[in-house]
Amino acid sequence: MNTAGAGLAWPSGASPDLLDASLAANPGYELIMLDDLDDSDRVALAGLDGDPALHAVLRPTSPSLTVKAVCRSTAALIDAHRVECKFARARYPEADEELRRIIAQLIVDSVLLIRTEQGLATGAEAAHLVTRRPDIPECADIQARLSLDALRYAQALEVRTPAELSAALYFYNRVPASPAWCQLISSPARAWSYLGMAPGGALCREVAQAWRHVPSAPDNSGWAFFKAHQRPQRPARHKLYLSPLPDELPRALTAAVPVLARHSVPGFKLGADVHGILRPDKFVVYLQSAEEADSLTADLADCLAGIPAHGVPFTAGALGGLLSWGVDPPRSESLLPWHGTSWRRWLTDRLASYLYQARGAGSMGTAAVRIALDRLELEGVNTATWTPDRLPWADQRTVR
Amino acid sequence: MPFIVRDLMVTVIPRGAPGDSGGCAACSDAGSATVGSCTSECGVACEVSDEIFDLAPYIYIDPAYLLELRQMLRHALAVGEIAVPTAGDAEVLEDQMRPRTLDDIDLLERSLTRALEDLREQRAALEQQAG
Repeated sequence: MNTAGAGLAWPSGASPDLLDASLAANPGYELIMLDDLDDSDRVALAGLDGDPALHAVLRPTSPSLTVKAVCRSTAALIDAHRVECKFARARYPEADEELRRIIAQLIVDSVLLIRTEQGLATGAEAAHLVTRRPDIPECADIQARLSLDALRYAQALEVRTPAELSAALYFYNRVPASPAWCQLISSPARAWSYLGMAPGGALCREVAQAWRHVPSAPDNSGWAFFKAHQRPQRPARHKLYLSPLPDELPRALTAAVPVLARHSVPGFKLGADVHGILRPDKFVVYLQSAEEADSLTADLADCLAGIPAHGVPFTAGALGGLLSWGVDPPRSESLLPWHGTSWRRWLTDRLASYLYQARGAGSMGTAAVRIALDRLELEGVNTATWTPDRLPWADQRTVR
Repeated sequence: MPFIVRDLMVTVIPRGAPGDSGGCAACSDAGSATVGSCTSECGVACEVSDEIFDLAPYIYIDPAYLLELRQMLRHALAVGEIAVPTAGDAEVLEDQMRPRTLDDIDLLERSLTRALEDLREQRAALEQQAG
């Protein structure tokens, strides 16, 4: 195993303040203003116009690095270090902590190089110098353990792109679609029957009182969507994942529907074919606020007690893996067509990119996983609990 | 002013215009089509999920299937009581290929005898052609 960077040390021997470090822009990245992109690139990245703060693109010259977009301040910071120099702290009015965060991010992302006793270092090699945590965090619950398992699994795969890695992470912990499952749920009608939602049945009538079933798009038939008859006043970005084992889904659904109705939830979706039912996030409830999610979690905990859990990786845990939660990012977080729009995709996209770059720099195994986790922490996600502790667009939660 | 760095999740900028992502018309019309999806912020309640991938080759990556295949292979090896030799274990491999019972030997003798007979017939045919 490559323990990248383990031999690096600071010039002074002790860990200095990043704001006193000597930095240089990585010549492996070309800084291009958005206005200076050629026509083809401009078309491909047209979605970036959705965030007026974005100002430039960092285009790598090596396939082991990923393309990035930066704001004017970040572009200026990088440009100021075209030639290695000490960080000009006095130039920046920002809080020191914000500056340290962005410098650490840019170093782990291989955008900036930092002077060490052994020379300039960046990326995976320098990650342990600029992040605070020496080891992979303790797993707080079953979801955290699954998340770590997913990362260990994905880092070992022979995949070619960050997008493939993201898919491997996202899809982790599905139950295999064995011949027995495929035979049991061999058609949409059989799926409805399995769920206890056959037309005319008691559960179907109960659901119809509060929600309407809306047809899925042809390319998205693996889900059944139910929306409240009355449209919600706010976007329902808060998600509660109900994750019973697949063979317990009918029982969980029967127990949960009355509670969802009592809470007037704006909508929920269910896996509606064999693959959807076998995924861990097979039953997702949408809510408008953290308070609503907390209240519903407390009530569902009672009615779902005793049902064996499946466990959804990259979600924050509650009730031993049976219930967990996340918050979908706002539209501004997914500007490009290939970016995911859900909480789990937001996480797996980023983790995949960090893993990809760590592996490209020669880090393997636990070292690559640790770098990915450290980098995500710099974004504001607590990777021990998988809660969005410092994400500006996510409300904080109280129920755990 | 906050500093922003956004990872675009690609190693090269894709060529050409982005195609139809499968998202809802409202999202697409808004100029921010999403991958096979509609965000929960979509104002048109377009009912399209936000959690599918439609970029190839996602469909080929399935940890669960890989896990199942691995288990089936282990099970099959265990049932067959096969010792899988490594590259350096030629002797182990040769030993595994030896007949173990009298029936094995009889079967092997019959096969070898038939092979010898085939060779003799072929030799005779070739000699006849040459003569």
